[in-house]
Amino acid sequence: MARIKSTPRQIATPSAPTSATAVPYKPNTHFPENVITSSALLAFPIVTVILSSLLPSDPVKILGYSLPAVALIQAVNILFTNPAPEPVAKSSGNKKKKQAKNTMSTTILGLVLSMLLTPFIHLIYVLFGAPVTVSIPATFLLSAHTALLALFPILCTYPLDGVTWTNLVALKAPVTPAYTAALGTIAGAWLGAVPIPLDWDREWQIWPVTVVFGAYVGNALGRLVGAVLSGKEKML
Amino acid sequence: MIPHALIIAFLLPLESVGLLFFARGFFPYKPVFHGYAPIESDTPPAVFDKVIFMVVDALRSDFVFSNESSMRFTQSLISSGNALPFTARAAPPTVTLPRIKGVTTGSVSNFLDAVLNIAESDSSSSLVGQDSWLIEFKRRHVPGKLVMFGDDTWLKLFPAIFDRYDGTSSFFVSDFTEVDNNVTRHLDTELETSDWDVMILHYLGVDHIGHKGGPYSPFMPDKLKEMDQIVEMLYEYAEKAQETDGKSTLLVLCGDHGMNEIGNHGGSSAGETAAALLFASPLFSKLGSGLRAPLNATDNYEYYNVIEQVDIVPSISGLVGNPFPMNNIGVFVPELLRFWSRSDQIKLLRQNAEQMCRILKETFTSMAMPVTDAQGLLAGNDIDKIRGLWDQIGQPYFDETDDPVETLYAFLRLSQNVLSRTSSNYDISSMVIGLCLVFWLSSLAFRRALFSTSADFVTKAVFAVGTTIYAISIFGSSLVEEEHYFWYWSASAWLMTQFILSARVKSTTAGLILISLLGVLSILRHYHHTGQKYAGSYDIAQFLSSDIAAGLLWVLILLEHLIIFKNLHFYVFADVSPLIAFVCSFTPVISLFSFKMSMALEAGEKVPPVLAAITPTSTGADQLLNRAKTSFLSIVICMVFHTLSTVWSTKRDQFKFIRGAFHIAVLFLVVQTSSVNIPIFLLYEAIRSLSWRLAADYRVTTPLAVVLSTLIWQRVSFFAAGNSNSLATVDLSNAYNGVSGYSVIPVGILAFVSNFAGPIFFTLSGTLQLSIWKTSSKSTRSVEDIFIVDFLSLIHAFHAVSLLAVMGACMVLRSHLFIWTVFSPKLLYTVGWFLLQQGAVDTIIGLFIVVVSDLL
Repeated sequence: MARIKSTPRQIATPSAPTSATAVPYKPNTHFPENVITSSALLAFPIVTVILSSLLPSDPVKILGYSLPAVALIQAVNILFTNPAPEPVAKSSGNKKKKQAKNTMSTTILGLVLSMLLTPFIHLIYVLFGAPVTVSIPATFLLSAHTALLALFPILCTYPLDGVTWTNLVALKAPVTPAYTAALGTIAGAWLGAVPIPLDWDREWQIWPVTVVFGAYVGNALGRLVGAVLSGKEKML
Repeated sequence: MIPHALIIAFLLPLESVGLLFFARGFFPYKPVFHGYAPIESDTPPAVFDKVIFMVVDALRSDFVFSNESSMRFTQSLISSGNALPFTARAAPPTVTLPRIKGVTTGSVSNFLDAVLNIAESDSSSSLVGQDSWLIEFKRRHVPGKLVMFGDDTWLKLFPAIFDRYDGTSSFFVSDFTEVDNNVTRHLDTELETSDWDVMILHYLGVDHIGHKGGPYSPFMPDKLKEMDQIVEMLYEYAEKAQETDGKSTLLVLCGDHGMNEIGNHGGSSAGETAAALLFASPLFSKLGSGLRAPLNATDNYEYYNVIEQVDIVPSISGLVGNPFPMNNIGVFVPELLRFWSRSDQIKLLRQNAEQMCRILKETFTSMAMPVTDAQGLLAGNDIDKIRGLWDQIGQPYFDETDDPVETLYAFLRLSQNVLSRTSSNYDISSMVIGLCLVFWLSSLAFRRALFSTSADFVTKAVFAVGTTIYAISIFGSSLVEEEHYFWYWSASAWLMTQFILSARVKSTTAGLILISLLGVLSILRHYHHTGQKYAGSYDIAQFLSSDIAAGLLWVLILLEHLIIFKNLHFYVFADVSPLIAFVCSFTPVISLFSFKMSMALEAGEKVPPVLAAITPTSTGADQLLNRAKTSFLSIVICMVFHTLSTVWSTKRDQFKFIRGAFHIAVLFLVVQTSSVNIPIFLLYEAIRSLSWRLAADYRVTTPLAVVLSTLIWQRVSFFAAGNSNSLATVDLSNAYNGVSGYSVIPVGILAFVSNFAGPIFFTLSGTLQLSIWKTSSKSTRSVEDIFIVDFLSLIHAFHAVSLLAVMGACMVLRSHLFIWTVFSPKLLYTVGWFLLQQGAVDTIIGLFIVVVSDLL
């Protein structure tokens, strides 16, 4: 299989995909054209500040209550920044390709899918050292937040096929804010675990406060970097 | 290759020299006064004529005072007012030798004592020429008679002071009964003769049970009951002696230190520092303490009044009418003052204060300055406050002031506080020389690791960043205590990095292997919860050692034995006929199993009855010794056979020697592992076979990646086996396997292997992995070349940089509160990693195996 190296020009001139392997994905990179993008860029730092100040009191409650709000912000964000509807997914198996759907259904599908993948993210957290037998609701809600931050935009931006996702894992996919935000979320969550074992005896050192904080900050930074980079590519 | 080998041969010894310089400056012998306290002419009258000093090793406060304790008689002494109980706070390092120094001389301990505690043959720690309450008995007009039974540390500390003695070695931790019977068997005759002034008894059973089975071991209640009966016997003697010849006897029962929740000690946690202390005599009833016993169990182990352990020293000296020892920083216990009149109380405390003031004057030059503004000084810093108080005490009408006793105590407590904080005098120039030398050499090593090894940008970047973060983390005390998190965290990061690399070359197999490795890692990190913050929280090891999981534990142990059997059968005895191969590989495994089984039975662990039934029941120290020897012998025979069969083999198989040697080594490592840790080897084996498979995929793996993985798994396995950077987790329970007497070298080697079993496993596994990689990648480089250029350079650079960082942390933070509790133990561990793991195992043994396997 040939290595796919997408240039921004290729993305900017969409052509109907003949087969999934020939043109495996079609990221929508209409950033940061409208005002809503920049307001979305602002939304997450604000959510981060609010969440991190409230979290230590009762992480499970705050994470639970804020989940719909975060989902809404993300959905609005995606709806307005993915104006050109593209086929989301080649659904599993050899079924014939579905018709192009509008952005709304793409977003809803992405939201449902990312929520369904939450247990999988929970498993990944455990593999990376999250508590197994205790704080299960907290870890699960953390996974749900991570799914919304990292998976949801990617599911709405990239098609669901092996090659695309291999490239995403291999850090070879073209830069989009959705992708850099996901990478930022992962790196932030990973770095967020650092202060937990320290003996500072602060209330926010409980699981998973710092990880949530790291994920949100990483997400915002990643989004910013992605917006700048993909904007630059567009100008080239 | 040769220049690389020469450079490491040049760097390693020179770095050790640098380390030596640093250690000489960092661990000086604390300056102590030699000579003895002046005989006071006007001392308050003695209350007691004789002292029985009964030390029960690791007697934690709750063992005596809590309602869960089985020491009923001792508790009845407290409630009847015949005994005064305390919790005595022991200063770290909480190991026996420094603690005995503390309770005899009253001085704060020297960190080096913790090391000397293990190096038992050392005689430099003797207290000849130093004052102690024991020597004060000898300095009486009619020298007192001293007898000692128990831990031979006393004999080492006080050579030629005891009129009669019987020492017991304290390192056969698997022996619970013999050590104590050795003490008790003297009691009948000694109590009959009764010609001594001081009798010291040091019981070791409680400590040994703690090391083996923790504070809640099934053996503990019976052992404490035995101790209780001895207290009863001694107390009855004191009562009788009082009635018959009018001689009053003071019985002191104390622990030299406590133990933590898993039964170890050496560190500074609440359980380790809380030792029980009890003064008992029929005379105490007239003081009317009105205390009740037992008390409800508390989490912080603080029962009754909490005093410093060194306070025992002036208290005994005062009660028997001896002068206070020269180096004492203990404060006379207030509750005991009530034996005297008010004027005598002041007299006694004044002597205590004068004695402490001599140390203050020696330590702080400002103490000698004349006081002009006493009131102003009292508002100043601690030293000023001490000077102000001392000035008040020196005033002519001090005794008539409102509360002289209170002022004296204020002075004594503050002085004690200041003096115990004062760090020893470092030899800064020696430390700087060592630091500079190691700085130069380690930067050389680090540069070589990055620029002279084979090409692999990603691994080098991860290595450089990781090593830098690690070096920085050492400067944080809690990051040292919780070092395991760093390794679990970087292990997952490194696996993730490799996962991304495997996605880049589209290797699904490699991806799956890395995910599986991540899974194994997540089990490993919950095997033992080590460190400080979460130590003792529920983990897999606790589950496996609980009664309900005994069956599972032994199934897993059997499984590991089966794997060893299979590996020996296939890789060591492959060339001989099937029957012989079966017998030859079965024998070492079954002797290992029966040894581990007897050890578990001896330690009182729960063993499934089916397995216990098939193991011969005649346990005992001799039996255990023989089984260990059988295991070692079978390992040696396997090794000899394997070497010969490789030499004579007609088939040319370059892996044969190294692979077989690896599996025989695993057998040895399992012998040196406690039963609850044997299942970890299943996880190690999983990591090994997954890594070997990964090494076969040369697109994902490079030699440097193999080395970095080895480095990370070494550390991960070290911490996963329950080790930490605290001296408390040094496991000596396997250090005497097959050794009948203490001798430094075999015991040292066995102790090292039992604590570093994981790192040794991964050194050997990594070496093998390099040969697998060489074959699969069809590289033109020889295995020796890969080993010396890549493996040794990277491993050596990491250890050199971490040594530099630890030395730097000890230098910069030398006045830090935790310098003796966190950073010094870390320095000792780093020396262990640097010299033994990196120097002896990685470099010498690794090189030996690689070269020999090439020659054969």
